[in-house]
Amino acid sequence: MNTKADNADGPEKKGEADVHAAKVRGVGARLGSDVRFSKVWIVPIVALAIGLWMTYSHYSGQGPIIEITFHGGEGIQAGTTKIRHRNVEIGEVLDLRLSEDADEVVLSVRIYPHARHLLSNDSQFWVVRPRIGAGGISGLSTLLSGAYIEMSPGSAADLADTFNGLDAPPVTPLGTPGLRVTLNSASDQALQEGDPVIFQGIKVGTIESTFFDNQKRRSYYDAFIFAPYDELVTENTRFWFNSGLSMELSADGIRFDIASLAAVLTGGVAFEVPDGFPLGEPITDGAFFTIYPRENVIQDFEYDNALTFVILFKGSIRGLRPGAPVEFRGVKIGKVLRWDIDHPEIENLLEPESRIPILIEIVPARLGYEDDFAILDDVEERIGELVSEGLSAGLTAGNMLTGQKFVELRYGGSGAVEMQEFAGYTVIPSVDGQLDQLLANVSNAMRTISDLPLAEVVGSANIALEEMAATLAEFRVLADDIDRIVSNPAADEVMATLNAALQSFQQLASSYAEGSATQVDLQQSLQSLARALQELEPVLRTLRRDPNSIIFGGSEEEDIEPRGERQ
Amino acid sequence: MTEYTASTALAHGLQGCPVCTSVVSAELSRCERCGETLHAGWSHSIQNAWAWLITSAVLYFPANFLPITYTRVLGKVTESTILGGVVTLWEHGDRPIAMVIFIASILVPLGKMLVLSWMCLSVQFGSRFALTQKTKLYRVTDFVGRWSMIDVFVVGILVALIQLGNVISVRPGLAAIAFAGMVVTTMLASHAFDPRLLWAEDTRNDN
Repeated sequence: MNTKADNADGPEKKGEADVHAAKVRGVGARLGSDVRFSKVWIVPIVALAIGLWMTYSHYSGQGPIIEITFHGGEGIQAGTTKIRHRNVEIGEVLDLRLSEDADEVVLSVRIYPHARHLLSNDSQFWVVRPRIGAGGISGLSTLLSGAYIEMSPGSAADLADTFNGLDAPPVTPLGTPGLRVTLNSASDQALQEGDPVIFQGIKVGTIESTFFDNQKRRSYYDAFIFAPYDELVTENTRFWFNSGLSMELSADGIRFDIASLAAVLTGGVAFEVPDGFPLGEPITDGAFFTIYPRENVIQDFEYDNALTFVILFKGSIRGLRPGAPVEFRGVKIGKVLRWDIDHPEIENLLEPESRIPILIEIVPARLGYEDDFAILDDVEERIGELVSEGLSAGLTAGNMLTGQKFVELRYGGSGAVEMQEFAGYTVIPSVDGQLDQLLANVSNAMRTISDLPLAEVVGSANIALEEMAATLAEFRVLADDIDRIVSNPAADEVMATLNAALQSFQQLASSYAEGSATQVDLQQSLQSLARALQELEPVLRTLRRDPNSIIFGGSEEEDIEPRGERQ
Repeated sequence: MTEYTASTALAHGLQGCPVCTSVVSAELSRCERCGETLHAGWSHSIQNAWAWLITSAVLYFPANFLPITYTRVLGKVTESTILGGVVTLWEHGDRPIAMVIFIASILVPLGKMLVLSWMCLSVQFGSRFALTQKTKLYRVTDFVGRWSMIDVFVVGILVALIQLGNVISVRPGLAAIAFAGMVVTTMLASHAFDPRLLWAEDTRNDN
């Protein structure tokens, strides 16, 4: 860069003697000007400065690159697809590639610096594209604009740079105030993601996710209850499947309720605290609830612990179904589980002395015990004691129409137990059920009837009947006599005379009938008589009060004046 | 090194004024006759050439790495760099055009910068190698410089012609400016370089 040497060396070398003066004078002056840097140097310096500044601002202005994994890359294009939050662009997809095992799509996404702080550990990403669901249609705008990726910022403090994208938009956006509860059910009804949680007809939450546990054979549902409705869920809350349709057959007739069409279509789950229960304590996030199949069974608790017993029945068990209640004085304390006809201990059911074993379940909590596994043995022992005091089981008809039966426990057995255990279960002795007793009574009655001396009775009845026939014959003779009298010709004359008499009487009566001449005359005479009597009345009155007035004339009558009471 | 031994003005302690052609002493910095500044190229030539060269080198990077055009087709914006355009043309089979653009837009500016740097360095190190050829190369470089603007012209024409809003439109990128700047600065560099300096060492050795 030292150009001075090149420029100056030439003239300097040509002859030291004669150039010396010039060197001092002219070249020296030129040297001075050579040392100065050219003004043109400003140009590369400025260019470099601008370049560096632009590079710096470009890279410092670029946000972080994150990776999002999706199951599919439908509608996503590198360089075009944007990341948005509340419809504001916060980044764009740089690259799109398959994961190593080709199961997923990995997106490299540049997030703009102003949205860097939204990349929490729990931020959620999902692709917005047109969707049709029970809740309506969403993402229509992406039909024209193309899909984009929506982000829901997380609330966690830790930032992250790799995320798992969601296949569908989250039912509840992160950070929505409310409460999460876990519902479970083993019924054949199922809930879908996005189904409503209903309280008195109002949608107060949604089902967020569903999960089926193969081991427990139960479905689990995560439900989110929006604030402020989350306060409605308390300890004693019961959830049930809301079908939207209900039919009730009662003394008032048939009642058929249909909720809103949306509720019928989407179903969902409803909750309420059963009548007569206290609300209980507020619950915490993640509480567990069982879903009851119908609203009218929510009063029935579902307990975890139960004891199983076997009842050996001699009689018919027709009408008994698994699930039929086991009752004691009308209180449901358990249910029938199954009957075990194919049990190895039963050789041949047709043997006259064979018994049909019925497996029942008794819930200690329904007897008043705690719902606790630890006390089960004690309870079983106690029931064994009660059996020796006469506790026994019988079949009772629950519904005469359908012939359904249930198991009723009652006292009245002998307390003697033929068999202590059957196939490892404690045996509750059986007594004849009500129906059996009824049948016994009926057969007793029949036997009594068959024992009656019916032949004699019939014989006497025969005699009576014969006598009656004779009496009737006599009566017929009497009737014939009467007939004869009536049909006599003399009787005809009497009848004619009677007729004429009646006719003359009728004429007489009609002459006095209203409007007839006789009657009008009579009425006129009577009216004139009444008038005459009216005119005569004052005279008669005076005469009655003062009989001599007819001769001396009447005295003046004083008008009576009202006066005050005398003091 | 040179076969031909010249009798140069400097060897005689003289120089010619480029304006009035009068022959004056080599020591003078101004022409005695017309007052033209003499030796301007001598004193700042290499410095200026270097300054312009460095500027063009600085501009070379944005010119090639930033997008030169933004093409918007139905709302979708595509950025294209010069090299990207060359690759696209090559892949589409338009190989001659790709070659032309590659040579005119990428090789020629780079070649110019390399040639000028080489010349500046050889002047500074007093090289006497292939002076005649270097002078010829300088002439070619100086001549070719203006044609490098072809890319900028193409972008200018495209931008002017294709303007249908959201349907299709072309917008120039930052690279177009950088590229034009690069071409201009290489031209300025070759202009600043005084080819007489190539011969200075040779002249000195002749004495």
